[in-house]
Amino acid sequence: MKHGLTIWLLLLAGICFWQAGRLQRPLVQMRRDLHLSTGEPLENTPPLVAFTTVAMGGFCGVIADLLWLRASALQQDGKYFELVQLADWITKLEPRMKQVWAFHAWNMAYNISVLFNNPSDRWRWVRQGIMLLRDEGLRYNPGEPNLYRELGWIYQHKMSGNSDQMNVYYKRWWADEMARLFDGPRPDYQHLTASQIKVMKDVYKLDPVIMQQIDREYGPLDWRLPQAHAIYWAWRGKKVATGFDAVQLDRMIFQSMADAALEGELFINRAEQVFITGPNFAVFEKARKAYEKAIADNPGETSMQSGQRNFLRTAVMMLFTNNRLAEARNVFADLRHRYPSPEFNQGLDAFVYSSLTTLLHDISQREATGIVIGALQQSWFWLAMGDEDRAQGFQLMARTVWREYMKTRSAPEIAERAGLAPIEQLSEQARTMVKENLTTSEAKAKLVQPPQ
Amino acid sequence: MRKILAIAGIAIRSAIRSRVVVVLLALLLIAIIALPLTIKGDGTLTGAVQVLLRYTLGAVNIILSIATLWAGCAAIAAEVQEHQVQLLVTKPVTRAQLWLGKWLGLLALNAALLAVAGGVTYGLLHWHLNRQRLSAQDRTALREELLVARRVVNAELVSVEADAQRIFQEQLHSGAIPKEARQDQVLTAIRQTLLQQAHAVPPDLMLRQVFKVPRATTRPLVVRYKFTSSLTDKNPVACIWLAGAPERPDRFQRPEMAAPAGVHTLQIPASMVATDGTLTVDIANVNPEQLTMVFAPADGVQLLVYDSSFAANFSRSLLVMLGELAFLGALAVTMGSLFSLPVAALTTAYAVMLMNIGSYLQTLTQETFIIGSATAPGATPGLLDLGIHFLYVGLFWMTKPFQTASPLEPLAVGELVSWWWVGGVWWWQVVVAGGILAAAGTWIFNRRELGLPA
Repeated sequence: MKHGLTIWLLLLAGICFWQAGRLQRPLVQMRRDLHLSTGEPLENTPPLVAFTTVAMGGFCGVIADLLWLRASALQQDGKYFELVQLADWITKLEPRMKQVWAFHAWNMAYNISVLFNNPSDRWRWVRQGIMLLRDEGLRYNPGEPNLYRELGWIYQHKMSGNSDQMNVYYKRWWADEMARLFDGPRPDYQHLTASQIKVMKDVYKLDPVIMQQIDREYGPLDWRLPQAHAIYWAWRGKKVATGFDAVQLDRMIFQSMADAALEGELFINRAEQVFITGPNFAVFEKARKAYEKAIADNPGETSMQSGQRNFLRTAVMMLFTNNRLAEARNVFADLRHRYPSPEFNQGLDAFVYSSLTTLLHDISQREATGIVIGALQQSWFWLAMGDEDRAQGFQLMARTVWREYMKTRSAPEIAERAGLAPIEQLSEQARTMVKENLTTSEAKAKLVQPPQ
Repeated sequence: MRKILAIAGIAIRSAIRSRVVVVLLALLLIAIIALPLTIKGDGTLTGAVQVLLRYTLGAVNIILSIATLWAGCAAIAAEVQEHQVQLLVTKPVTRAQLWLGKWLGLLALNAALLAVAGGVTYGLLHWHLNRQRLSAQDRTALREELLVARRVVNAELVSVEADAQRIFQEQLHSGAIPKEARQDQVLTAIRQTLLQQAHAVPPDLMLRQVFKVPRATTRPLVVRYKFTSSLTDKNPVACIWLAGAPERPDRFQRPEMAAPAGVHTLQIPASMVATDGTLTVDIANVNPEQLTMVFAPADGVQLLVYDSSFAANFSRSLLVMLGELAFLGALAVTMGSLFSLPVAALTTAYAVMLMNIGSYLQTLTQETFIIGSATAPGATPGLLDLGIHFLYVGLFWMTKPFQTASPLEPLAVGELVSWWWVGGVWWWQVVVAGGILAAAGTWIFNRRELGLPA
């Protein structure tokens, strides 16, 4: 009798459980229709997270607050070892709050990373920020455009930009990771193996089909560099974004396109420990079009026009110093046409000279490398062409920029992070690049000694 | 004493018979083994070791505290409720012996469980480290930075009292201090400003810190420092660290590029300590961009000096934990002799909560307007505000002796848990507070009517 009652009760519990499961879907729909909650119910959550958020109920917020206070206190005291776990718990307690994910990822990638002197320590924290958003935040909030933007921002600003003095290390380590996925600047989409696809999708959340689409639309991009990944995440975010979110993601795409055009090609020579990023001329036109499209799509956004103007200015300089004079003239004409200004009236040569003089006052590592390499390439090119005067002029310009830039960065600890590679190494690099593009052995034979 | 031990023995046997010990042991072992597998470290070996220590022993502490709270309250309250106590009190044992016997039984159980949990954690830590292929450099770093007990020495504080008094008097006479301002607060603010100025390093200048090294050592000393920069960016700051007597030609010298707000360390050879046991450390601000480095006066620059082995530190930490559990047991047994089980458990939990929010209570004691607000400078708080204020002050001072930091924090970062700490906990929490609780508990228990009809 006693067991009989237990069996009946268990049966009843089972029926109730089944019925509750059946009602779940219509209840969610009603909640959606009646606007009773601000977000969609959690999907794809592991049992632990689902259980925690349901079982804790309203106490989730209180516990998250207490953990947050502990995390802040530990961070203040320089005890970072628990912070990854605390961030994990806090975000799991509030998995639907996009701000919580965004804050903790940003805190790790930006605030904690810069507290370390060692580049590998810094990179570890930047990576933790990326992983929190990419592997967890977007898993629980796949329809949240803001999280795509936050993730893209770490690639675009923290890694691709130069506001962090250790950005070169981040680029190098990221390129090393990507090199383990595929050879060269991008995957061979037609011949990817199942294991390659699995790692790309499972670990890096990179879908080769989307990558190929992006390459067709904006590329060919060098996927070893962070700006390609910023475009990737912005592109994915745009699929779920509307209104201002979509504008911000558009902005991320054309800004990253500009980055890709200006320094989106990677030259690595592991034997020589050479890691140089340079302009990717193949995407120049697409970067210009990305700006034009974004401006056409968002007529009220004047900041986009400022961005386009700056991009065109830098593009003129980059093309000129890389001896792409026809393209430089073309872009310069476009710049004059779109944004008339007295500084453009004197013509291309005068504009380049005055820009260089201004640049030398306050120049970044990226710009300095670009100018020096470009000038050295021109120098080698004109030497091969037999015009020693011009070759000498560019050689002088390259060495002047290098010397002026390194004047304030000669201390070993600064030179290591923010300095330029030795001028001889850059010169050799430029010579190789020029030599590859030359076809006659006669011209190649002249590239022995740099012009003095 | 025999009677007390007999009652303690009964309490232990009863706990073993009721499988409480087995369940607790299983819970502890699950926590120790499973937690490190689920906790995410920061990706470094030292981080993993710190997480292992902090979280496993932390979980052990929480499990044992909850068990102690419940078992302590039930030790007498449940027996009263179920009338079993009537069998005991009719025997020739005093109620003081009954109280002490119950408490001692609880303490013995806690000691045994803590010893097992500590032993397993220690073994697991070494197994974890031996399993990994560590480079000699990693092993040295672990041995010297983490698996060690280092005493934290603060620099000798600069005296600013005379200057503070002089500036205060000058400002008072010149009328710079408003009449409604509290003079003690103004003086404190002046002192703090002067101290901060004394620990700031303007461009191309130097800050000198002198440490009294507690005992001679041949192991390298570690300087740990943290500063803020007058610039808002977080770019590393170029500085030079010098150590040793200023007249020494072979003075230690190290250029550093240190990020503001981060915690940094550098090793200094023990030979730099002067014969009088002092170590002079100079910090020169040589950053090319003009900025001021500001160190916190109390702990901006600290010296870490080797004191003893990790095993000894680990044992002392367990002793501190046991002392805290002993106090918690005394509190719970006393509450159990006063109230019924649910009320006793709730009251003890509330007291434990108060002891754990010490810093928050301290903040509240500084507020005089709690419900009302100061409408004008110099306004006096109302009676209700004053009442609440004194309640907070009372609560803070009542719980102050028990607001000790967890020994796991220093243990996990290789800092010393001293014998003074162990002694302090056992003296104040076990002997003094436990004694008061025992006396109070026994006194009330003596007056409690146990033979009431159900």
